[in-house]
Amino acid sequence: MPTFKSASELSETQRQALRALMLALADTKLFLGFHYGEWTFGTPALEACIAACSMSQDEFGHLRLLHACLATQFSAQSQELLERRGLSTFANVPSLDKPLQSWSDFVAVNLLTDGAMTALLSALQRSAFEPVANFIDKMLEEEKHHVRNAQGWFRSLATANEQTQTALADSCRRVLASTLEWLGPNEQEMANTLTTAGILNMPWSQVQQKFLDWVGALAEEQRLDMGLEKQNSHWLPRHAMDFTTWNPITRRSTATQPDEKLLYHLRGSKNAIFKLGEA
Amino acid sequence: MPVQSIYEVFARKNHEEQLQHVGSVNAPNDELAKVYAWTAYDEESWIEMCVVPRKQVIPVLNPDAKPIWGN
Repeated sequence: MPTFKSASELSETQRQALRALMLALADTKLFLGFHYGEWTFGTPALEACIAACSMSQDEFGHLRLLHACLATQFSAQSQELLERRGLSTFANVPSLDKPLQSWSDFVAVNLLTDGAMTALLSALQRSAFEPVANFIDKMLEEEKHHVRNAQGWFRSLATANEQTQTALADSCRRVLASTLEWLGPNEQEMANTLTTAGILNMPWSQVQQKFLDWVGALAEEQRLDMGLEKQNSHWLPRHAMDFTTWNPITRRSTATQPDEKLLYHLRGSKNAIFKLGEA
Repeated sequence: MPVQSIYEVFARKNHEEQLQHVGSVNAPNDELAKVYAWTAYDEESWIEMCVVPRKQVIPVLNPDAKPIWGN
């Protein structure tokens, strides 16, 4: 399989597909970093504050790498990636559009939304696109701790008491539906292009199935109904999702978008006068 | 109902060094103890880190005295 040293070696179709996927991954990491950072305070345990803060730093580190790659390989201007974008163009997982209301929301996002991103990163390991292949292993190494944190809290809340189990189940069902919306249909033209070129190391349907099988096994282990069912040794959503209006660029089926106040805060708009120019 | 336990954290920076006690964390299970140790004691580039439930540590001298880590 040939490798690509830069985006200039890709066809236009491959360039568009990879740019869209990287931007969607970067947008999700931007919001994950923000929400994890918000939960530096108010967690149920002191150690959980430190872990949330640390995961936030990891996500912003990953974001920086992705934005640098988008800038150098795809000529994306840094201001276009965050500050000058319309709300409706953000391609993050919709579960991150609004502030997380409770600790069970945090755990669900940590497990399911961050978990889905880890499944995608695994599909980018040894990518034929070298600029991406160069940093994926480092990201995955850090994501191991995110998965551990998520599983540890998921198992703790699932075995605590009825109140925490109910809150966890509600949060997980909501966040899983949103994460599956982002993952989209099994067959995607842009993803197929990337798999054929070796930029993704597996078909998109396999990325989804790996994620669902991991989530399904955890849910079964804790007897928590997340709306999945086992069919022929694989886990699938009990009710098929409708992707007729799914947009492959924003990865959304409906006209949802990030909360304006949240983005105002995240962009640092209030402190715009203190921003330094770029050389 | 899961309860928090104290885990002692041991780490070393290179293969020539012995594992040393670097602190402790409170966690409800081994999985979270590993994350908390890694994130709370990240000031060094450790090559090895492990956690041990304090209950599993068997004192050899003065079994009734407080452990060296004090709390």
